[in-house]
Amino acid sequence: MSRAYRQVLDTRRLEYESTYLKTFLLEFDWEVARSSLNLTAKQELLQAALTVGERGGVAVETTVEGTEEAGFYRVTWRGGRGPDLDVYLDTSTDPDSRFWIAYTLSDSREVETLLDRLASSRPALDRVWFWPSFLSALQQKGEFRGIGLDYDYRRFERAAGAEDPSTYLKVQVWGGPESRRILDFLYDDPSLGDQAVLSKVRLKYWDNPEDRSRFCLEDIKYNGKFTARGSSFDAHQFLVVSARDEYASRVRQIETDYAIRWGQTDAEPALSGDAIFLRSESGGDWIRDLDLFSEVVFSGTEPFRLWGVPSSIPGGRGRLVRAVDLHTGSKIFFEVYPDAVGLYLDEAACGNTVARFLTNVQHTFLRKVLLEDNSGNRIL
Amino acid sequence: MATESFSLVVANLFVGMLRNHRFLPSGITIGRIGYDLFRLEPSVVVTDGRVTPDAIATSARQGHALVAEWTADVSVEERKKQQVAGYAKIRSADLITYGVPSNEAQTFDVWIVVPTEGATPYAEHFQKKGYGFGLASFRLATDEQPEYELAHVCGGFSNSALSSALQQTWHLERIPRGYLPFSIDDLASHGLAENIAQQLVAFSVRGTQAFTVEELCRGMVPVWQRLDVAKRRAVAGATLRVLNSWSRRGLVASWLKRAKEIPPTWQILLPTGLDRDRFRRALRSCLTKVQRDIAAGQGELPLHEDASGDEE
Repeated sequence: MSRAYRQVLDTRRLEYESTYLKTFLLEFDWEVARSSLNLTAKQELLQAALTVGERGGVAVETTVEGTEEAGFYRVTWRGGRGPDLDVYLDTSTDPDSRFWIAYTLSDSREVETLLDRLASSRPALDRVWFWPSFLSALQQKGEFRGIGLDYDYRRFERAAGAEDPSTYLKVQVWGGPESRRILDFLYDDPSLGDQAVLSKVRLKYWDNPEDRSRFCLEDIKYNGKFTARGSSFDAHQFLVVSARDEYASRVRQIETDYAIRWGQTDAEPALSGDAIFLRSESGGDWIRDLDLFSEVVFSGTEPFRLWGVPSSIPGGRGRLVRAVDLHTGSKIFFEVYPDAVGLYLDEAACGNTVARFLTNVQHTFLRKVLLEDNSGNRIL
Repeated sequence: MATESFSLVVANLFVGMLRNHRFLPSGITIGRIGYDLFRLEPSVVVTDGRVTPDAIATSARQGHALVAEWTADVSVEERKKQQVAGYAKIRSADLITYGVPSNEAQTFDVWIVVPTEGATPYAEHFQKKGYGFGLASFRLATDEQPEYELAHVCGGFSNSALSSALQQTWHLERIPRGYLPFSIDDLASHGLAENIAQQLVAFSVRGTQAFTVEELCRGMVPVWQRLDVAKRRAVAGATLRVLNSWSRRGLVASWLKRAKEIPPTWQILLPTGLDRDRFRRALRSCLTKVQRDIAAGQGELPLHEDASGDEE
């Protein structure tokens, strides 16, 4: 794969202001893609899954070409409003081809917009969702060079009827280790501390500690976008692949340990898996308006991508929601109470849905929430 | 007013007790003394017949099995009398033959949970027949009385650890609800409509264009494979009535089409992504209407409009 990518670097002139290498981690559910697109051949399937009809009202031609390395594809979107876009797609280095790595030198905003469009219109495709402690752990692989913080509560404010919602923040601080103190300062603030979430980390990373000349300076965003500059593609690639592998392992662990499976035969255990819970760090109530929370989260729209119709339990102290993940079509049962949200994953449920739910609650509703198992052990 | 299904709530309570669910007080959780679910919907051969309790839980640590039955019936009708009489015939050897490990079936008890209104008739019947089963009453929460209550009524348990958990009265603020999202004993509940709608959306996301009622039920009922034929038929029949009702008129009629009579097969007509959104919105409106009708005391219209209609 590295060889294929080097060909790209060697043969392609970089466009103005597009000198940074951008890499996106994506999740793809082959089973959902096969059934929803009614195709079986891999390349045909990719072609259909990645086809965009138009950009800015102008028709787009999508091509997916194989390369000399199996599972590595060049995807091109030509036409439409804006520049042509190229993505080099590695579908093979994850053991079951589920987590993809998409490299690009094209305009990152355009590529990101397009990938988001594909993710919202194709059930099989999803981005990955790095929760804050995962981002911090990635940053600790290298040297600290800065952070980004954000929150955006406007979705909930709008649903509550606010005419001009304005509770949002985006801050980026670049610098050496001392800039980390900004984070402590913000977290000490009674208001910002509850809201500002780690959304991006910047680090300097060397693939070989002996050779300080070969490094990458990497920005990693919570939605799995990596932006790299520096002198070593290998350093960038190593970082991306290790992030992908660690993330995939956590997601698969959620599916293995917590998806509820009912034994259908005497040979199987009657029940395996268990509920998981979202609660606030303080342990107190954190969802004041159950209807508002449920309306936004289960509306079937971005970023939660969950569809469901909440029903009230007697006394109105909780809401129950039989939800569907619009990414995979799997089912999740939610119990929404002021102090906790219980999740029961269907046996076909996707662990990435849990990461998406947690991360987006943190960015759009409350930072200080934890995902725990039934015994109170932290999951993510 | 919100309504709940007795069977669904008690089934989830029982599983939650076995899984030490954090919404429950620790004293009621019998998972902490080693019990785990052995089987839901078991069918155990006994002398002169077969019994089908709702669940069997076992504990290797206690060397004990608990045969559990919950029923929403408040009076002891003839059918119920026969069912209960069957439990009196169970022997340890029957449980072992069914598959319970012998060290977990050395001793066993039967535990029956009935609605609060049924406590007295059942207690009297048990006394008359000399049954020593543990009997508990369960009261669903209401808007006026928002706590659930599980109360010991009579009988006992041969295991002391189990006795201390079950032979008392528990007031429960909340009960885990997601283990079993569906009750086969309560097919008139709006929960059935919610489960059907959820499964239809799941089908639409996965690109399923045609499905049989059996396929829908299999996706909807977690223990479908374990249900006996009569129960499967009942669930399929109720599901069919809802599908008929929804496809003939109302909000989702444009997207659901009966494609084949035998086996009953349906098509979801979703040519574009935009229609998928409309379909989901229509299902949402449909369920909201069901909830509203129930809250207004107008019954569960969408489920009964075609009650005299198709059967599988």
